[in-house]
Amino acid sequence: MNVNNIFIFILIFPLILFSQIKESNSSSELLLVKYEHSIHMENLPTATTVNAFLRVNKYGSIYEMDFLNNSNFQKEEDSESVAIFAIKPKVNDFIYKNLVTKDIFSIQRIGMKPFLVRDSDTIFNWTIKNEFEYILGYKSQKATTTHRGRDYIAYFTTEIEFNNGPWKFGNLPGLILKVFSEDDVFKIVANEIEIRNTENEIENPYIDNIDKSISWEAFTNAYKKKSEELKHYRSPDGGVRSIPKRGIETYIED
Amino acid sequence: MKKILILFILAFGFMSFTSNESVTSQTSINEDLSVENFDFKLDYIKDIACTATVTYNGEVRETFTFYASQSGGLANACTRARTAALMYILSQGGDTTGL
Repeated sequence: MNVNNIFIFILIFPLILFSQIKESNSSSELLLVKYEHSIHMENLPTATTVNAFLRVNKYGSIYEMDFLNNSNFQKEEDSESVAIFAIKPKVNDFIYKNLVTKDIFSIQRIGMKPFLVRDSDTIFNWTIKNEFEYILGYKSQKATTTHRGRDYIAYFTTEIEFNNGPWKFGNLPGLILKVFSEDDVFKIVANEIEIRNTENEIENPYIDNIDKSISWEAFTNAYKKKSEELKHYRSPDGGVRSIPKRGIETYIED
Repeated sequence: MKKILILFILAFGFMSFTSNESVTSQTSINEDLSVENFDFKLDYIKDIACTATVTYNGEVRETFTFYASQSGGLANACTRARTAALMYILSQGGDTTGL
């Protein structure tokens, strides 16, 4: 290789490299946020805390709750009168948001029977407050709302150009970094943020079953019907069964 | 030599275009959302009844209650509640090994 060839190589190589980086920047950005996702239902002795991952691009987002790797699943008590066993699901839970149609898809359950439920991000009507705190170095503004039986406080930042949030939360003019119910039942806090340049798309994990999706109203109607059925149920040995009126969200209003 | 240099530049460019990391979840959520196992809680109410609670991913899914007066005592009620919860777990495709 003579000196001319080396000179040409040195000139051309950076041109190719930088032209590709520029193209990647202009194609699409993917936001990755890791959250700590915690649930402590009122009638259970301990909280369930898992990692959760939000992936967002211009068209959609997926929030994955990593219950499969829940290290908190441990045998906590086991006696004649009290027993709690640790136990893992076969798949993680996902919440998918279509940012074009504003639809939110999630799995809701009656007992253990799963239903694909379609919500809209308009389910959240926030009141934005003039209060701020810094989360992971981002100036975050306070907002409050009431959603299906619980009062929530959220902190969102406009310093990251994505309007989204963990779980179903959204419909704020920024990225939600922290949100919790005032009764301490449900709490989600961001602990890592990354923005990547990528051409990968975010696909709806429920795409094969989307024609089976039902509205929240249809789901809660089915839930009430099942609850009423169980009120009249008696096992041959006198036992009764019931399903709760609410989990994170209220299924049956008092 | 020039050909080798050109091939190298072309190959490098091709690799750069195809080396984006895949971050899209391909997990398909279908109907079979059955689980291996569940959280399981057994509790009793002031010597009157015993309730076994089945939870999944931190939320209560179903409860099974047996009354002492109908079960020949609280101990029997608790045994029946526990058995009913285990049968429910099995009916949902769960694994009750060790429960």
